[in-house]
Amino acid sequence: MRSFKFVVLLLIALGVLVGCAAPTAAPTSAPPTKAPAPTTAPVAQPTTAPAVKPTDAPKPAASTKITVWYPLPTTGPLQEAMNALVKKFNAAGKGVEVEMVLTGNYGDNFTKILAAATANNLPDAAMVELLQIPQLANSNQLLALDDLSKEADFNFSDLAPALLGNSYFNNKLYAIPWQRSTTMMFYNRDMFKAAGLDPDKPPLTWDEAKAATQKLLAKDPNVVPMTGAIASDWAFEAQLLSFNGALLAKDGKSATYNSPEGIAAVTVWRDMSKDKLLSIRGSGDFGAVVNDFIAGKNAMVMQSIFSRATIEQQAKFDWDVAAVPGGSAGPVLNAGGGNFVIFGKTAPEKQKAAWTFMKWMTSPENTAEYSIKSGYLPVRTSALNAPAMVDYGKQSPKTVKAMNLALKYGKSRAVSSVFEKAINQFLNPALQDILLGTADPKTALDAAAKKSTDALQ
Amino acid sequence: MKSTFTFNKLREPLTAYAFLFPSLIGLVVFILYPLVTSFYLSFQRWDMLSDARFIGLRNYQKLFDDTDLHKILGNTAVYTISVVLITLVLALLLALLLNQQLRGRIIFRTTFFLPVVMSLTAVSAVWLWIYDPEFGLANWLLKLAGLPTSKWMNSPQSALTAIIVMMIWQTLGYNIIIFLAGLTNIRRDLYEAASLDGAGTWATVWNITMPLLSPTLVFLIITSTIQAFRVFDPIFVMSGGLGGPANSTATVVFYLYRQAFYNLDAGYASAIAFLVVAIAMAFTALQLYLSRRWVTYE
Repeated sequence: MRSFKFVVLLLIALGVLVGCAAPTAAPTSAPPTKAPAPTTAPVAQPTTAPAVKPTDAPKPAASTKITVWYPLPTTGPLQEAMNALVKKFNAAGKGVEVEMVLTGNYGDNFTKILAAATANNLPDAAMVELLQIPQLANSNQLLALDDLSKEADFNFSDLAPALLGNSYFNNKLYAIPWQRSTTMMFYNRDMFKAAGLDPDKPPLTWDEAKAATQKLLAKDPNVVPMTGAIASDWAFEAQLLSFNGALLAKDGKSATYNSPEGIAAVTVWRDMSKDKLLSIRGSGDFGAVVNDFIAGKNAMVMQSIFSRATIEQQAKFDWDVAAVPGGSAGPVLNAGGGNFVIFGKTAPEKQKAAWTFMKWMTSPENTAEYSIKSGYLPVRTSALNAPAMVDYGKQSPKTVKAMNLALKYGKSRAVSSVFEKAINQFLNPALQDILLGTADPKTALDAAAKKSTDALQ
Repeated sequence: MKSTFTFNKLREPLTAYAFLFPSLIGLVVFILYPLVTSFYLSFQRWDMLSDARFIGLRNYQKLFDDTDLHKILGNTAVYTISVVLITLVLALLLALLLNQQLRGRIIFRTTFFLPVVMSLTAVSAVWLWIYDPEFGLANWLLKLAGLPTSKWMNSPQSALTAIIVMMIWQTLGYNIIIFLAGLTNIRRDLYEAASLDGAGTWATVWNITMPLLSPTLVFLIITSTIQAFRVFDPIFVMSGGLGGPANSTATVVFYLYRQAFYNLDAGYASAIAFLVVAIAMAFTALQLYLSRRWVTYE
């Protein structure tokens, strides 16, 4: 009896220990992280200092010090690319010294801004996720940039139109695009050839995508032809725009994503998913879908432009990049990410200093440099022809092709000061219900849109 | 002379307050002030950026109209009842085993207690790996046993169960330790008397151990229930801050957080906070009332 109890306890104790020891038991290829954006970027050497305080910069006599909050983890290639640019700026003798404070991810960054706004100690400028900017503008926290942006040496008209729409609120300019990315479609040329498809003609519409995926499935029933972490507002909004729909009515007072266009947009995905042509994953699976594509489990993956670095390094087959297929209006790539803002309560000379910094950062050469190092889109059309970008195009032609496509097919996202409260809160669970096959598209979207419209009133 | 007299009279309470002062600061700054502010905010509309506006009982009225909240209260109830019930039964059985003279008893006790001292955030991140549908340990074990695999965190049908299993694993050790402490307090002579009277193992457990352990059980039921009802960390970490597929793992405190920091509706979030307080208080009162009928205090 006693030894029996001992064995029982031993087994349970082992079970408990297995739970503790799991990190070593899990395979190294498993995607560990849920953060959507920078996870797939190549890992770089960690650096220690979260804030940039260059000591070697030659200081001009009257240097204005400004603090800029920047949502990035304290290690990794993005942070290094930003640090390098800030250091260069501080050394450029513009009479401005920037202290960059890293604030984690976009969510943490915004929570800190809310706390700072309440306590009246906001920084001078910040990078903010673009959906959060209207909330700040609506409560008069931001400096309108309309006059400053007219300065001749800023060359406002050169900013990529695809990235600019989310900078406005109530017809005023509040933000300058900076750290932006979009969903693209990566595909396996070898699998296309094997299935008798032309690898130079990736599907541009969902009709073409359906035909192509049917051929791919017929060729190899073990492959799910297409995948993507698309069960969320970001990917759905692009899909909706490509069907000539929109999340919100023009006046922003009611939700229109349950329009016939909206139902058609989501039904295409659901039907392809039912027919095993498309595997739809949640937004937590950004990393997993890339690994599956690299492992040859899928022929096409809809994934952030960011992931091309990982694919470039690891794919053992001939791959290529294209726009995500679209509906009746053709492909639409909507760029998410962060924009620069200047806070309204900051002293005028500091606002001016922050503007000097933004102007310098978004020059064709500097946005090209950040784009090459980080994988984000360049914010100026002319940056695509900057010498550094042209050189880079020789090394990595597919990256530059992807950037060109992103700016060509780019459209802005909806603008609302209550985006999360009125749209995402109701739309995302409805999309997940529909795409997992547990709800009817029309019923679920109608119910969600009604709640959205109530919240918008 | 008179002043010295009053000073002496005041001396004792003053000394007491001086000693209490450090913890009083903490209490006032981190508990009392936020509590009062939150109550005040529950009657306001405030987005944390503009000025707050008084809207009477509208936030409380919304508690009744918000169908998402009702679904989420359901999730929370399922989570709380499952975690508390299963953990208590398992912990009691294991504590009874561990209370006997067994080889390696200390090692077992330490092993079961290990998950308790680990950071819940880190544990959640690790369990996400275990639950990975492709490479995870959980599905590997299921396959090994010839059982159907699960999508775990990726499906609305299994996501909440996955978190429940993890939390049972995590809280088991704490419950065992408290039960063991309760068991140690039971007088040995009662067992001796029972064995002299010829009572078997089962009769002893049922007639001596259980009644004398009942105060411990009540303590654990109340504290575990309140704790489970307030669950946040694993929900936030394991759903990537989203509440799981189709809100399937959203619980009431997570919903509160989302109302405040995603939706910028601090007033409604405060009203939800007071709903949580009301439910927890009602439950505790009920427990204490019912426990009078079945708890034996020695």
